[in-house]
Amino acid sequence: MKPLNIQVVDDSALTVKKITKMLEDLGHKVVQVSGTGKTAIFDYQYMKPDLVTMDITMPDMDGITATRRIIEIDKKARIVMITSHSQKQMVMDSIGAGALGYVMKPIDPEKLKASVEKAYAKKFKKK
Amino acid sequence: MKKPEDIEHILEVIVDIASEFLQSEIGITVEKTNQKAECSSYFRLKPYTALMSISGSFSMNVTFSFDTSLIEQVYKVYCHELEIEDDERLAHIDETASDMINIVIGNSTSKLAHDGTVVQISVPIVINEASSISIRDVKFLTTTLFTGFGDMMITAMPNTCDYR
Repeated sequence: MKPLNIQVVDDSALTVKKITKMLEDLGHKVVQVSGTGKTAIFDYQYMKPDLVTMDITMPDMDGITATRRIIEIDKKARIVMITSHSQKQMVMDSIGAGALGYVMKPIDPEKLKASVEKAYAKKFKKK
Repeated sequence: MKKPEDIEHILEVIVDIASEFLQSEIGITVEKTNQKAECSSYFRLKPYTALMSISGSFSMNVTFSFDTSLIEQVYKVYCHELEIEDDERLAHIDETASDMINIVIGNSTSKLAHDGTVVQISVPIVINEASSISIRDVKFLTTTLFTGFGDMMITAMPNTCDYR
């Protein structure tokens, strides 16, 4: 697949470094890092990345709400949740908000690769 | 979720997942565990402590408190592929403790959910240079995990006197 410009949303600097390293190893470029849900929405509109990785538990606005808001702005936004939250309801809420994938922490690079590829391959219906 | 056995069950789930994380992600074996209920409203902390709150059908705080030698080994393995500047090291040790509690508690949420209630978890907080925590009228339940690199204590602190 072609290299993607990716926005990473996570409040942990260490997790951001780990995700960035994995994505760069896959040939992608992290063009924006956002530490909160609110900044993620602003940064998305400014950067228009090909794909977003989104944490759930963050200060000021959770990742599910941020995902919902980004999808309201851009229905074709491709968002993959990367979270430690294992509860089934959270997965369903994330998909309901518009996320195209869900990767559990600790992150398995192969699962991250598969999720990114699947999200990018998603075809959106024309209006 | 107010009975003592529920709190013990929650702690057991968290201890199992923490042991699994240490083994599979870091390569550290938990050699033995020791659970005890502290009747006092006070417990001593180890040098590195991370805290998270859980809420849903019950609410409680959980702390992971590490010996320096153990958290340094966890950091060393967890961050081995990353380029970290010397001046970032201490902050990243804190982040390692924070990431570990976040992953363990997050991975526990499916087993902690009760009657379909969504379990909410807070952002982790790292407590530096504190020697103890005290809360009036609350009974702490602590399990110590013993490893070849040092020990860590996982403590459940039910809120609002759910468990006295």
